[in-house]
Amino acid sequence: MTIRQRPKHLNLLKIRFPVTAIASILHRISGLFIFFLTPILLYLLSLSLQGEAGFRRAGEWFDSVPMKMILMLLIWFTIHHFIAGIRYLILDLDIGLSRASAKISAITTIALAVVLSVLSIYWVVV
Amino acid sequence: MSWGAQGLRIWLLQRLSAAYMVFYLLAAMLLIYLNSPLDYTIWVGLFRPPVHNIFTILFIFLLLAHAWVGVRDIMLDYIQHLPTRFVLMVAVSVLQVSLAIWAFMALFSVVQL
Repeated sequence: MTIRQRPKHLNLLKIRFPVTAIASILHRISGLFIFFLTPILLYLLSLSLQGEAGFRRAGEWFDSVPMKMILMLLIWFTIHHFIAGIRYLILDLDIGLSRASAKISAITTIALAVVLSVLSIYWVVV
Repeated sequence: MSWGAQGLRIWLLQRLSAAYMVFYLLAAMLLIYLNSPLDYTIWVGLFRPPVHNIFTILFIFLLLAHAWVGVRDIMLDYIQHLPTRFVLMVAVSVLQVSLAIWAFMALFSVVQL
C-alpha cells in the first residue's frame, strides 16, 4: 500500500483556491485587517471623547481619500467577516457540509457581503 | 503555547463575543443614526450613561479577545517556527492587553451618573 505524500502545512502559494477557500481566506484577511486597524480606531475614539478640538480632529481623519478608502474596506471586511462567521456557525452544526452546498453558501456569502457593503458604503460615505 | 486557551471554551468565547459584537454594533448604529448629525456634546453624551459606557468597554474587551483568538488561529496555521510564533503571540497578547487598559481609561473618564 502506498501512502500519498500529503502537504505538511498550508503553503498559501501552493494550494489551489476554490470559491470556498476564497470565502475562507477573506474571513482571515478581513479579521486580520480589523485587528491591525483596531489601535487606530481606538485612538480616534479616545481622541473624539477628549473635547471639542479632539472630536473635530478625529473627524478630519475621515476627510482624506486614503482614510475614506480604508473606511470602505473596513465596512466590506466587517460585513464579510460577519456573514462568513454565521456560515461557519451553521457549518459547525453539521449543516451544509457537502461539497455542493458548501460551494453555494460560499458564493452566497461573498456576493451578499459585496451587495450589503455597496449599500452601506453608499449610505455612510456618499 | 496556548495557555490553556483551547477547545470548546475558546470556540464558545469566539461565538459569544461575535454575537455580542453584532448586537452592540446594531444598537450603536441605531443610536448614532437617531442622534445625527453629531456634534461633540451629543457624541460624548452617548458614552456618558454608565450602561452605555460599560457595554462599550465590554464590546472593546470582547473585540480584543476575539482578535487574539483569531490571530492565534492564523499563527498556528502559517507560522511553523515555534520560537517566532511564541514571540509574536507574546507581542500580540501584550498589545491587546495594553489596548484594553487604554480603552478602559479613555471611556471610563467620560462616564457620568
